[in-house]
Amino acid sequence: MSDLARLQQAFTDAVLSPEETLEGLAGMIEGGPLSPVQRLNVYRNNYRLGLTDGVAEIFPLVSAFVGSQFLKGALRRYILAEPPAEPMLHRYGAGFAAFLDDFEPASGVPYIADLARIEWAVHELQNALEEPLLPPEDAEGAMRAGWARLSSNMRLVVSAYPVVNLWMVGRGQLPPEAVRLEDGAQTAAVVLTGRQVRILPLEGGLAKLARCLHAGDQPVPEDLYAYAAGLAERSLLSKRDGES
Amino acid sequence: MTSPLPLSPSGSRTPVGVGLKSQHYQDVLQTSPALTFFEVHAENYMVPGGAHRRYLDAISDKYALSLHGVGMSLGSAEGLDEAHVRRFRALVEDYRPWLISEHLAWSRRGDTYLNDLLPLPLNAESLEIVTRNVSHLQDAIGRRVLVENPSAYLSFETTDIPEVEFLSALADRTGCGLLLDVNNVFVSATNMGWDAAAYLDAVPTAAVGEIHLAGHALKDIDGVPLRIDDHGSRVAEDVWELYRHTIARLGARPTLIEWDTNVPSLATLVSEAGIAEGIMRQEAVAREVDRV
Repeated sequence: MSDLARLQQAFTDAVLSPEETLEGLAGMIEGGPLSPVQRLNVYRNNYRLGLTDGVAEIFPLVSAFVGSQFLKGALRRYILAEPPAEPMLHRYGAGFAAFLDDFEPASGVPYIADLARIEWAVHELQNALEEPLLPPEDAEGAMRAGWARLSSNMRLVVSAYPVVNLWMVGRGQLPPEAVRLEDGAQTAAVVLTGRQVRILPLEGGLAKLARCLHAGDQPVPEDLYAYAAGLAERSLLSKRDGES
Repeated sequence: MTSPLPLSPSGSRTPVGVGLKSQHYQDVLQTSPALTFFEVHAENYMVPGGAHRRYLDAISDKYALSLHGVGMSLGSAEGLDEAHVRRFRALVEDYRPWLISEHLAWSRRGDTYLNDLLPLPLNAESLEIVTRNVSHLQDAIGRRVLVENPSAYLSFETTDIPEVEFLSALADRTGCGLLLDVNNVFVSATNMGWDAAAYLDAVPTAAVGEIHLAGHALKDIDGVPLRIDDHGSRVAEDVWELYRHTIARLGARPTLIEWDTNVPSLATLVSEAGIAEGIMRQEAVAREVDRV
């Protein structure tokens, strides 16, 4: 390993360390009016603040529900536990919802991870290419023939909580008192269509069929084929690759 | 003698631009500000589709484009990330930018990408590594790359080549150009106790293909002042003076105003660019007068 590789490994470890450390860098950084640790801290802080602020912008509704202090506190743990693996930072934060699932301080707001899933889906679809959709009149036939699939322009969020209603509360479209967690499970489809990203609640057979396609279950139960046109009407279905 | 000033794609002898921010997309298209170019961070446009690409398509139809990478990690001992080189090349092919630039810095180690421009020890070993990486990038994209001096908050005991000499050697060895960030020179010089004017006077004239200007913040760390390159305010007076000094020496160069935090109105950015343009005009006249 070159000297530079060793230095870069030690520097990376120091930036990602939860505590101030010069381990592996002792004697390598010049001091002066500021100590080596103080100088290194400029880079530690740049990393933490830059990334935390950037990712926080993706989750305004999570912030509305738990407060920006709580969100940033959770993000500070997340960015040290799962630092970015690539420089396209708009793709960083995909794992934050799953991180919240296991984040003990968030156990009092058990729905928050699913809200984060919806916000991540919105963010991700804003940079997606729109693909051709399956026309509703063709949907059931295509599905029976095995070449219908959920569109790459949609994301499914299956929640044990009324997550679409909570999302609407966050957006100011529903008063908070109109939603109770006991209202139960909701399945949300986040869909990009006509350059707009929208959130739709799916219910009954539509939700069942979407979950079935999402899980890759084959064959689709017979009673669900009737809902294929409904999913297509909501811009949620495309053809499998290679089918014309 | 013909004018030594470089001509921009639009024919301007005093080409100025600003960093393109998403909050200004609409404004740019509606008001068509008098600028020669816009600069974008390459990584923000490494997306399959969406509004960012649509706006960049529209804006790059009307203005010259400068593609500025922030994640290539030219200083990585392990070499460049080939997947990232391919993504960068795809953008170069899609947009055919006027200028292409990256940084004398590193940000990647193994599978970890640190969201910052991290400092390098400047010595024979790192010069070898950065030379290899810059040559590789230029070969892969088939274009000359301008390499930018970063802001420094520390230096390594193993540094034995001054930054400006390191960059000159890099330009000699790879044929790369330099993106001279005058604000970064000021910030690093103040933080590290260098002489900013001496640095600027040692920059190899012919290599400089672009100049960056930005605002910075003054922090107090336990009573010790430290300048932080936050791109969050107007260009400081000290930096304008160094810019004038630089233009007097180099002649006009494509000059960009960067403003990435607390982003102001587009009009404010354009007015900062106008100051740079004015300085280039004045110095061009002064050079003509000197020649008479």
